[in-house]
Amino acid sequence: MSHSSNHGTRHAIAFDHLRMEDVGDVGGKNASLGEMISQLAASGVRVPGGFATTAHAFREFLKHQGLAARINAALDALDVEDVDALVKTGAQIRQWVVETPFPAELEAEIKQEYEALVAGGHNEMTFAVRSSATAEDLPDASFAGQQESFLNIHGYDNILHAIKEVFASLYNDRAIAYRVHKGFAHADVALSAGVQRMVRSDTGAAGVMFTLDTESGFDQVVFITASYGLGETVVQGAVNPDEFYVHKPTLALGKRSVIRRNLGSKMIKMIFTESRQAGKSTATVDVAESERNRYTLNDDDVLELARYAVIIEKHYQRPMDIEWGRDGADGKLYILQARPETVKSQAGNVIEKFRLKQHGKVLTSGRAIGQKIGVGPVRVVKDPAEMNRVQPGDVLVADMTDPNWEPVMKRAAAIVTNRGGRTCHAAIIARELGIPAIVGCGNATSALEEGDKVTISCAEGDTGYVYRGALEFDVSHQNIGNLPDLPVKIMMNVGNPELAFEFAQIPSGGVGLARLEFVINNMIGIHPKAILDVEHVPASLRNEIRRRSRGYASPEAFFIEKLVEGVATIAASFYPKPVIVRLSDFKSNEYRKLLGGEIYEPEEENPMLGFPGGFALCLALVP
Amino acid sequence: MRRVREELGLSNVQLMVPFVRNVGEAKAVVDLLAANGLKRGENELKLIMMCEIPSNALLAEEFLEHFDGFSIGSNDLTQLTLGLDRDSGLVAQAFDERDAAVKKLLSMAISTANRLGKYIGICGQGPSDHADFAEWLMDEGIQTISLNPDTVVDTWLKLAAHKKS
Repeated sequence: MSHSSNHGTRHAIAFDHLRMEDVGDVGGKNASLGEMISQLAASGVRVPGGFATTAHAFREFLKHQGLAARINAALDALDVEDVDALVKTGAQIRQWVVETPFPAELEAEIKQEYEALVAGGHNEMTFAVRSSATAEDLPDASFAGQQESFLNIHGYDNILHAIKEVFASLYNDRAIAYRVHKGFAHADVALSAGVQRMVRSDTGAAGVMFTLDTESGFDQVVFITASYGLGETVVQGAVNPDEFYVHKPTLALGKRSVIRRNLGSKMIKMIFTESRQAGKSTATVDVAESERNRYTLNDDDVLELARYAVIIEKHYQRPMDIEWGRDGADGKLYILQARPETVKSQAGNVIEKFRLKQHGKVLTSGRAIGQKIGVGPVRVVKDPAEMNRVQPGDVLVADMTDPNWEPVMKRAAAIVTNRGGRTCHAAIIARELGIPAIVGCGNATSALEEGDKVTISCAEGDTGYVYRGALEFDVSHQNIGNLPDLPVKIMMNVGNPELAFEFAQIPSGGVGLARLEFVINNMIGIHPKAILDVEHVPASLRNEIRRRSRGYASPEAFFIEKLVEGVATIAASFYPKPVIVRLSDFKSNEYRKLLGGEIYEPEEENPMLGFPGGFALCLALVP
Repeated sequence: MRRVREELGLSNVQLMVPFVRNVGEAKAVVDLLAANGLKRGENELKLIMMCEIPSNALLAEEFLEHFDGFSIGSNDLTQLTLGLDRDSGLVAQAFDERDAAVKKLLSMAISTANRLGKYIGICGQGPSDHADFAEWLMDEGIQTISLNPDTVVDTWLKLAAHKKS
């Protein structure tokens, strides 16, 4: 794959002089940063500045001291299926790359751009040095995490070294194997190194956002994930991040349209160490409990990020996948990376629907990825070294995954992980492969027994369930392209906010019935009186209520917010079509099932004729 | 509800009040909502009433003075018209939304609402379960039929076939 050059023999170019069409010179990631900095700064989208080395510079470097000739000879002689040879050859090539000095012209241009970048900045300014391949990040393939990033690099000499490391990363074992498997010629891929002012999210926060809902493809929302520290934990799936949904049309009207929040566990964060050299600069530490129990972002932050996302999507005119960071030093939000979303945006008019025909014992549960159902024997892989035990059709169970796992992920019938959120590596790859995955289960590797048949169901909303045994399910395909006109409007009954985005894609005239008690049941699950009475209920119930309402000022605030979110999610899904919300009719038999319900609800023989009535509305009138 | 409609700007949310026994209750409930910042007609707010007690259909005109429309709850309407409890094993087999008495009440509700230019829809389980019931409602002039999501496409196609014949 080759691209034409717009910048001739330039070796390094500042981001604000780059555009998307410079992808042949500086690769997709750097061209995209340049596009945002040069085109969107006026719209207020904050992207940290920097510069990129060009493909021309990379090729000049390879020509220098006969490096290319040595590399090509080594690769020609290599059989990538021979793992030992691959490891040996890869290491040898990378050593050659790091040891070869830069040509003088290249180094002079790097120096010039570096000095322009630090001019006016403070001495402690640090940088991220990232690779951007000229055959990467194209709209039809997301090579999740194929190349390296070096973070918090300080000082000119360390930057030069990091650029070398970036160049060398083109010859990582997995990168070599990947190119062979995908049929790319090694020499067709050139690397550009992007040097960008480091956003100190190590002391702040970071995450990923999409301009659509990644599971249903519903495109009227921005989906944001967030966790403490560097964004790598979110991207890799080492943490279960907080999640937020913002409704685009009402955001455009200036409303505070955060329609949904989910508190993630955020157990760990990645921070910087004292060492500021390539490859040695990060460490992973535990997050304090008080921080875990709090949302990473407040609504102002969420809305600001959503506005950036909408501006970026509008500029590129396609769904986007965006990395963001909050700088712990200046407190500001920055866009770190943006690329086209590659999976959900390719869907057509046919709805494929999986439905379980029976249920079984739930062994574990987590975030559902995709909407399919998979069945197979459990293969627990605790160490990447033993991942080759995964056979086609197995259910791969692991703590988390990274790009090294991709070859065996392709064989799996489903993937289940302990850690990770919707934007983690396992989730992205599962979506690309079209296989069901459940991430962030917490205990998957201990709760699931090697060899047991299990059913992985992602067809029941946000939560994915692992059931014992091979359960029966069916798959239907419905073409919703052109349904005939009717003299009556068809609407839908929607009670579970978790399924609303998905249902919104079935043609309809809106929601004819959204039952408030279903919203309470699905979003809250606690009896409203137990919430008001939290100080006086039995201790075990009190603790459970407190646990579920962590992240909120009080259990009452939790109840109100979740009720607002539930109704708002359904309303946003069908906006601007009407959504008729039925105020709770207080049927005592339904409320008894809620947590604490047995304390407050009499066992009525005929619930229909007893308590309910139009006056029983106080619940629905919460402000 | 007010927060969803005003702060979040989701003014497509309309409210439906269940189980209004008599016209006095209808007026009181509308006043109570207004006193809590949910005034009918304000910021496009529509108030819909469940039509699920025989009194609602019999006095449709009077009830609809206070509301923007009816949404039929065929389950409760059938139970209360036929005097049976669907959850009681002894009489459950007599439950049928298509009973002539129920249909008569439905016809009254539909024609009155249409005559007054009000909303009339159905949100009960009936049309999801029985395609012929959905067809009958369409022929009676009902404006909307609200279905469980998994039956939307099937029912849509069946209604389209019925319309042709």
